[in-house]
Amino acid sequence: MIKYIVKRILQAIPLLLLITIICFTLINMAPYDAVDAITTPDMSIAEIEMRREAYGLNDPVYVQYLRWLNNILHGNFGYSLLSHTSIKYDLMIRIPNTVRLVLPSYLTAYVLAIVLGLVAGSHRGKWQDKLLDGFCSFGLSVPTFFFAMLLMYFLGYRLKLFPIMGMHTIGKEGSMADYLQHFVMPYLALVFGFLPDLTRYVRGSTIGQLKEDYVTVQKAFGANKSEILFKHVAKNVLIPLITKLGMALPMLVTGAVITETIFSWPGIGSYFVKAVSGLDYPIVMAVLILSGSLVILGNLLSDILYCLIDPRIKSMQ
Amino acid sequence: MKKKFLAGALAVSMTAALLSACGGSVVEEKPADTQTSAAASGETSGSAAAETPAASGDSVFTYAIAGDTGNTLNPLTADDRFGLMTCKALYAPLYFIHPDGTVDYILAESMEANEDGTEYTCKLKEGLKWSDGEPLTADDVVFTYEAQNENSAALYVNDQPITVEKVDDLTVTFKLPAPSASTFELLSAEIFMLPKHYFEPKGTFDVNILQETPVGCGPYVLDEYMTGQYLKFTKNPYYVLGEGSIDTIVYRVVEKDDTATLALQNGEVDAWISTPDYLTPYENNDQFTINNYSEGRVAYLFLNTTSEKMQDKDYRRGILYSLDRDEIMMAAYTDPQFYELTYTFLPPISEYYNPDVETYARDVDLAKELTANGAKDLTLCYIATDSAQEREALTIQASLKAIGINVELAGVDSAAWTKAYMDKESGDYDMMLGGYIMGIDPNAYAPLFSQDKDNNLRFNAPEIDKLWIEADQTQDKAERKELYDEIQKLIQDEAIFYPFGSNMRSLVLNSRIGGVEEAGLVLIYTFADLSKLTIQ
Repeated sequence: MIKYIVKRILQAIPLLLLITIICFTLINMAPYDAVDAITTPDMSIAEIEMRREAYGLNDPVYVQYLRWLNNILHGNFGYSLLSHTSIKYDLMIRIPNTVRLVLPSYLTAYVLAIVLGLVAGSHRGKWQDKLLDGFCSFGLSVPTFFFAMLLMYFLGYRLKLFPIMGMHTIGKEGSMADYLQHFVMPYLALVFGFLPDLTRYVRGSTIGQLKEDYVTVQKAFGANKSEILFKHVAKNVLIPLITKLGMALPMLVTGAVITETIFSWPGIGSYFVKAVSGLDYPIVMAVLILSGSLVILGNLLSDILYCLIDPRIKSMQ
Repeated sequence: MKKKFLAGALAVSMTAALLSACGGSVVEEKPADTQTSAAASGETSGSAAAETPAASGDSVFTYAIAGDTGNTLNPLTADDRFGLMTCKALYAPLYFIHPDGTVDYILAESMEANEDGTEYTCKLKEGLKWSDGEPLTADDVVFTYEAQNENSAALYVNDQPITVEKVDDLTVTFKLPAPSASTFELLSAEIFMLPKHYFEPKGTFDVNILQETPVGCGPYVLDEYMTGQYLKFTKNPYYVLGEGSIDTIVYRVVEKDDTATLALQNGEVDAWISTPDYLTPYENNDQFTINNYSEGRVAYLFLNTTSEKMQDKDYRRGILYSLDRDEIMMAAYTDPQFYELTYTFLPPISEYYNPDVETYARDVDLAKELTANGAKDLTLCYIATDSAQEREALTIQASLKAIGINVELAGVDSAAWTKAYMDKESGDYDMMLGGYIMGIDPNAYAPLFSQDKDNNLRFNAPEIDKLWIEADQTQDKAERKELYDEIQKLIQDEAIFYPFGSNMRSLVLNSRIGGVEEAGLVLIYTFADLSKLTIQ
């Protein structure tokens, strides 16, 4: 088991390196001067040249790459081209903001999806299934931004249950109650966004599992329906779902782009979107590297969990 | 199969019904009950405006701004609206000139020119102090203007800087290399006095507002900056025109108009700049006041002469002949009451404005003929978050399509737009949409077009460059006007710059906010003096 995990981790390293190489190549292909990232508007041309030299921007590309890699490994992501702000500093503030919004939303959707998907799958063709399937179709066809604005309009504006925007009331940064009030609407919007897809996945998987021989055997032994569903089918349904969980890891960075913008949530999403539209490539690269690494880590995580849950995988190695 | 289709159709029609219900009631809402419900909601929802003042006993004015300032503020080089608004709250100029020409003396007691207009003497008010209690003296004034001269050629006359000398602690003289009629305005516009004792040891004018507290002389001091969320200011006890009436001012970053308008109606923010299509809920509504004011803004299309495709003047003329000003402005601002068409670089409120120039009235056949041998694919850069600009871009795209030119729209972030605009070597975009607010004296517009200055619009016309200097050195008003008439004509003839209109800005305020007239609605900063605003 440990051997397998170590092997997978070792395999992930060249992939991560490949990501950095691709990202760095893209940086160098971008039609902008990297020195812009470290100069301020009030510097003279001579000063800028000095910086260019000091930062080694006249060195060959591979030397620059190694230095850049070294910086990234030390958590130094460089400076925003546009606001001349340290990216590391921004990320340190914004990533936790996104995580605390996306993580609870995704976990809620995940747990709900398992329950709803099992119910729908086991009642295939009956009213429960039709209702849930209809809900999923509706959920998939309504864009998140629109649902978010409906929430904002009805819950925030008409009923005045929750504040419309932001993460805190100014001056109440420490208040949990205040935070939760700001949290509810973007949280609901995200749960609504994540749920339909996951539910359908569980439903499909459940339908597949119910056709398996072991279900027939259990039926023959006289096991009741809920016993079969939650004791036996659920376990098998969870296996592909673990993959989903691992794959969802990059969402911690880029999972709430639209929702964050609408609710003025100061997370990484709106920051990334602004950077992309502004061609602020040091930021774009920093976020790409983070989410790219998370994709790989997510894969690794799901492989390991897979292996822990299903011993057959391990024996195949 | 059939069932599935029905379900799909149902989902679509439900969505449509929700959309229209939502849109309809936002627009037609007469929130007679808004205040009571907002007050009630203060208890449950904890909205910023309703609760914070009650909780702390402080008055708070929250102004929704459409973009973040970033973690670094540079009061010397700030040139974007939100950066300048922040500077205006934190710092003060010697004096401030309103669009109608009246002068408010702020740090200065007086500013007088000698007879031939080559020397100005500025007397400072007595007892001026920085927000940290240090005295503000002539040394700071000299420090500020010298830093300005090191940074840019904005305060240059004939390639020579205006020199500044300290006479005593309260007196400073400005010496001009040649007479210049626009100097009086030049020395006040966007030049905030900066504390020598704070910036000199620092060695840079960059202030990291996440970690540092800038020392200023404006009506407010920065209390807190939260990345992507807000800037919070508290009043400066040493402000020269008296301590502000409102305890705390908040500039809250709300990027989406839909969010901002609901937040304003909900009482979470007190002020917001609205576009015409969002104004309906505020019209004939006692809870809000709409303040339309002109910033003397000129919206324009600029053909980038750095781009290879834009080298031929006839081709550029062809592009302009395909456009229609009124169509563009109408698309952007929906109703003629919100705009005025303009034909030259000056806004119509300027006394030097003369629309007797080549206007490029739409002529599709001529446009086709002139562009026949030129490029058929162009890129147009605009600020994506500016919905008016987006509609202008779409209108221009359609007009050019009609003469067989495909336009790729490049909507970018405002900071990226600024970068493309400042980078005069860049031919990345063939055309750019923009809008500027320059000032009152026509010479303030020279940096846009003159090769002796920034020349952001990338002109290459030595004849016009000479006229700018001549006009600025001419003291006689009638003669000056003639020269500016000529400049306006020549600039339009170059077919690089196509101004289309001057729009109004609509500031919507919660009616609990008073003192707007005393605070003064001005270009760029919105309020001339934040300290005069009141809360009922």
